[in-house]
Amino acid sequence: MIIFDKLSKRYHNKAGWALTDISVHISPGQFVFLTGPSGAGKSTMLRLIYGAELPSRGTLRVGGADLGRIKAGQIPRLRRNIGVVFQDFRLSAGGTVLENVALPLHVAGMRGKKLIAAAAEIMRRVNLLDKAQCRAGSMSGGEQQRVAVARALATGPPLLLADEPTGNLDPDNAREVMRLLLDAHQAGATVLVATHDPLLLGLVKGARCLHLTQGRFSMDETL
Amino acid sequence: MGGNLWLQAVAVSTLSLCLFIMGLIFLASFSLDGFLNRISTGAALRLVLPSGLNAREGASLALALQEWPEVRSSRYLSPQDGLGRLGRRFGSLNLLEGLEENPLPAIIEVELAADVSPDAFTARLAGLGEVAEVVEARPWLQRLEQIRRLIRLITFALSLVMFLALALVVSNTMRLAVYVRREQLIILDMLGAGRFYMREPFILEAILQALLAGLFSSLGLAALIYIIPLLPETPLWLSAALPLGLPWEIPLYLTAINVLAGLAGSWLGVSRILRLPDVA
Repeated sequence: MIIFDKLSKRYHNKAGWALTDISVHISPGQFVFLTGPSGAGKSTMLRLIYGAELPSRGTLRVGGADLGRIKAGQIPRLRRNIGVVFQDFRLSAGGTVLENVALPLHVAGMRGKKLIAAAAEIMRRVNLLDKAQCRAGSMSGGEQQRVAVARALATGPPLLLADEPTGNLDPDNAREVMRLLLDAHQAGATVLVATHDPLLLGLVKGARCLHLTQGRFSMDETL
Repeated sequence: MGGNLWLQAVAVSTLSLCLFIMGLIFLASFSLDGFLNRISTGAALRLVLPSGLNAREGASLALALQEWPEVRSSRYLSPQDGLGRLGRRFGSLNLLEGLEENPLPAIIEVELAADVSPDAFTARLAGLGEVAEVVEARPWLQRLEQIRRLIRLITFALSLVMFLALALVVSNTMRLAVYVRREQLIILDMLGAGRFYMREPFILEAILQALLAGLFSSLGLAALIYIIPLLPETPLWLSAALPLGLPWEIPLYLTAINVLAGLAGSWLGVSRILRLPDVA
């Protein structure tokens, strides 16, 4: 599903390489932790996967698409098949929970009652149905992250990326968010979680852990 | 429209003002064009008849000329007919008020057949001895045509400038609107929204602005046309320049031009901003 082949990434405005000669194959249905200290290249790997960055060298294939050669017009289609969760939620703060969760469904072309029913089903799964009309910006951090996870799961994407999804959460909310990601994994999604929180690793048995240090893999193990 | 109503109100006001100015240019052009049309219709050769010739003789001369192969049509116009026509052309100006005596001569209007030289016709006419003077309209008609072309050219050039100004106003308004909704656009970009999906609301907004501005500017022009002649000290030239009503083409042109400028401006304005910095 995801193949990094001798991939290197260098940002134009920064000295040094963010990633150097990364080679890894991630199969469909895997649960993968990307670990390492800040600046190790975890977020860069995720940004490359959803097409926010282009490789400087080497090859990256996601679901058959070569992201080094992908046309700008094809990136939206790629992103519609990827759910992304960020540490800072990236919600439409003025919108309601329902509006936030329904947004990717609307982008995907769903309309009317079908859209509302699908969004309601997702909100039910993340225990937010009773808060459907609440403003996202007025909710607690844990609730906002659940909304973000619900939004990422809304279209049932085969690939889910989470960049420090529990970074701003207390342990209880962190566990709840990890439970939602695990549910998605058990439903068949490939999940990549970038984190520097070692406690999260113990929550997912059998997950793969890729450890990055200064833009290179220093460890690849199964937990 | 969202929460930036002030931005929308300023944009619609600016567009309305631009369109109003454009409308004034159109109006001036329409009025001049109409005026030139009025004074040039029916003009060809005018045969001024001597004052001793009565109406019956004038009419029979016109009928006799009709038989000439050089003549396509000829029509007798008595002094009363001439005065009536003048009244109809310049009715709104009351030029004929207080006129005690009709100063116009009787004339015959002659339209020549194709390829007939006015000089040859005038030479043949001289043999009749029943015509006091021949007035040829062609030279001044040609000058009128040149003036008309010049007016149309100036109108087109000014319209082009106004069109660019309108597109610039819309483009800048859209840039501001996009900036206000930047966070939302970044989220949409991350969720895989296509460029058209992201552009759509801005394009609809530009069209709505264009329609509103078209309506407001047309109302302003209509008010100008109907109210100004009612004012007590309106100058004569201004009354003469204004048409009797707002020609239906003007609101249509203004709105169509503004919608086009809106589409162009919104497309450009959004394009510049949609080159978003990467999502994360």
